[in-house]
Amino acid sequence: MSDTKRTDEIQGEIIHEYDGIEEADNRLPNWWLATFYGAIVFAFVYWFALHEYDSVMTPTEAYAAELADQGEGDVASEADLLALADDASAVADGQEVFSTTCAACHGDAAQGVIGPNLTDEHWLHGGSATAIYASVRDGITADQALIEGSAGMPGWAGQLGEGRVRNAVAYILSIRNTNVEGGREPEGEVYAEGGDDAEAALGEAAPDDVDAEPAEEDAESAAAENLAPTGEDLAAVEETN
Amino acid sequence: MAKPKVQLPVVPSSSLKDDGSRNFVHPADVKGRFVKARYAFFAALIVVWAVAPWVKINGNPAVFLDVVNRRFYLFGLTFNAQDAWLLFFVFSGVGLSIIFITTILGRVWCGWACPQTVFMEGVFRRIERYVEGPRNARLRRNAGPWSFDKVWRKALKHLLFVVAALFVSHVLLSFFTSMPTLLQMMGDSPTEHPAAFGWMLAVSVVLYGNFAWFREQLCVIICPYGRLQSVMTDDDSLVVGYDAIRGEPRGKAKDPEAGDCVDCKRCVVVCPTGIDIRNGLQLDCIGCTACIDACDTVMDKLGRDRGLIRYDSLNGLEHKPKRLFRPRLLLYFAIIAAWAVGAFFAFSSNDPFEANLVRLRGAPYHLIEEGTVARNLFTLHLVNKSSAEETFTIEPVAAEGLSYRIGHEEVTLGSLDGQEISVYVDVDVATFSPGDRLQLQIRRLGDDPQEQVVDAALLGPRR
Repeated sequence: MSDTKRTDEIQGEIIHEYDGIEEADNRLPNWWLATFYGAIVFAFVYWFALHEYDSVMTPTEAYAAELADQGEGDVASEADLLALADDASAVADGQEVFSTTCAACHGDAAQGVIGPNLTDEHWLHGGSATAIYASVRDGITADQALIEGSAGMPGWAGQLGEGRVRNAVAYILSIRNTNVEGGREPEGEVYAEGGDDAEAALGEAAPDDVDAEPAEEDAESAAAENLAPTGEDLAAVEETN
Repeated sequence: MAKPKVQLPVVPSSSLKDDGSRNFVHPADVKGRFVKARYAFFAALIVVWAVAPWVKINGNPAVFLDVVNRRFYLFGLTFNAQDAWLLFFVFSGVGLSIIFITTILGRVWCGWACPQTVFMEGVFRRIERYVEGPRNARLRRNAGPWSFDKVWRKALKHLLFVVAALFVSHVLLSFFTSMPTLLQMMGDSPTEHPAAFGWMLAVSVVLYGNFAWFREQLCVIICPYGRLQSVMTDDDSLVVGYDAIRGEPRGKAKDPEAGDCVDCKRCVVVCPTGIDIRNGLQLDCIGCTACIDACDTVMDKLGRDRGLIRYDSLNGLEHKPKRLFRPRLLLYFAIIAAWAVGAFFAFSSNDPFEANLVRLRGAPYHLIEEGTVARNLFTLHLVNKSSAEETFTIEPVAAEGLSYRIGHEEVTLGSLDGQEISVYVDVDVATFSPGDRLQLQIRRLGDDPQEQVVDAALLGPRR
């Protein structure tokens, strides 16, 4: 590095030179400096507006708020679903969804195979329209499952979409209490439409609150934690039917 | 880089002054073969760009990057988010082309095809020229008082700039919304499509600011490509340059001692980045060829040979032997050949449809029929990757001891639509052995049948 400074005709004063590579020190463009100082000012505005005085929502807060709005709009009401159960085309579509998606576990006539009988008046996770809707949409985790040895049921919202989930619920509502032949034995509590207050409250609740079921059932669900049961385990379960 | 043998008198010239303020460039008109060719090329590029969103190939837009739904239509090909890995070949292809082309042709991209140049010289500078007149008239009016003449010309120019910016931003937006959707949104109130309207407005403001004011600063200060010039070009790359040996020393046309350059400064006043090409190759030079045409015109008038400023390599400008093939080009050829082979296999492996068979989450198997049958639940995820609606059939490959139930044995899917289909298989426990697999044959019907077999492991009790 040479200490002797010289002035290049084009580049101006050369302040450094390394191995013949010269560095000049020209003034930055004024518009560039304006963006630089502007960014510093903006940083303070941003800091105070978002973090000191909370007058503007941070992206995280805005996202959470939007998510909350979405959630509210999506949830079907009891009345909506009951009205849908009277809509023949919705029920017909729901029946097709049922035969292709649900019948594997609940049986062709919803009499119950691995999953519970859907045509009796007993319900494991609530028999209100909104409770059935929540079960179909979000599923039942292995922890929540009340049938011994069961791994629960997956949530179907992702696969079927909101519309077909509702139609499936409409179909299930249309066959409630038909008590088909050869059904799986009754499980869970009796649900009477518009009757038992406790049941109605349960119906409004999310599946997380289903723990409010009898203690005996809780013990069973604890036993169901084994996600990959052996054949013997399952055979034992099935033989009890 | 070897220094020219001739010592150049240096005239500092740039779009920036020493105090950091703008030396706003007002290029003079220039006529010549390169200018003519460039305007024709700009017009062709703009037409292709503006027409592309209207063209449909196989019923889909020729260019439609539906970012919101992650569906991408490019010249008859269709891609979804799962194809994002192909972008590796797109980006590496662009990178390799830049290196390869720059090595041979220098910054031909900047001068002929870069959107900044195409719209600046082909649209905005034209508007300015027609409304405000030639360089000297513009300079005189700018320096003068705010007369009625100055006000209406400036107002009209900026109005036309806004219209042009709106046009460019709308066509640009249609690449992401498709033209029918854009036209429909344009008919609606802006409040119905706040996001699209916001984008349109933001893009328009940026374009207007860029072309009305920022201009060559983008090329000179912001664009990284110009800064790579010194590493990508060598002494044999094509550049726009001044033949100092022929031109120096500068002098009067009648002076027998002087070189061919008469120091008329036409090359400086026509330069859109405000530089003096006679100072040698510099990163501010976008290779626009305006100075070539300007100098050729002067040489024609003087009866001297054209090409005092010309397209040539640095070696050529020093009257040294020129060469096209050099070791680095062979290396680039080898790399590009490897890229082409990889890209060919990557793009030809782009299946006409996607089929994934996965076990239902959290459900290994269930024993039914008093333990004699193990029921396995699966979901088949089928996506039609082609550009047209297609019908698919799903059929199990028969195997002993298995019985099947398939949610839909035939599905019709629109382009890039997908469906999840429940599949369950009853396995006869008596014949089951671990390692047995379920195989499904998926066929695409129609004129161009395609098939694919997907499989998944079956589970059952060990005996």
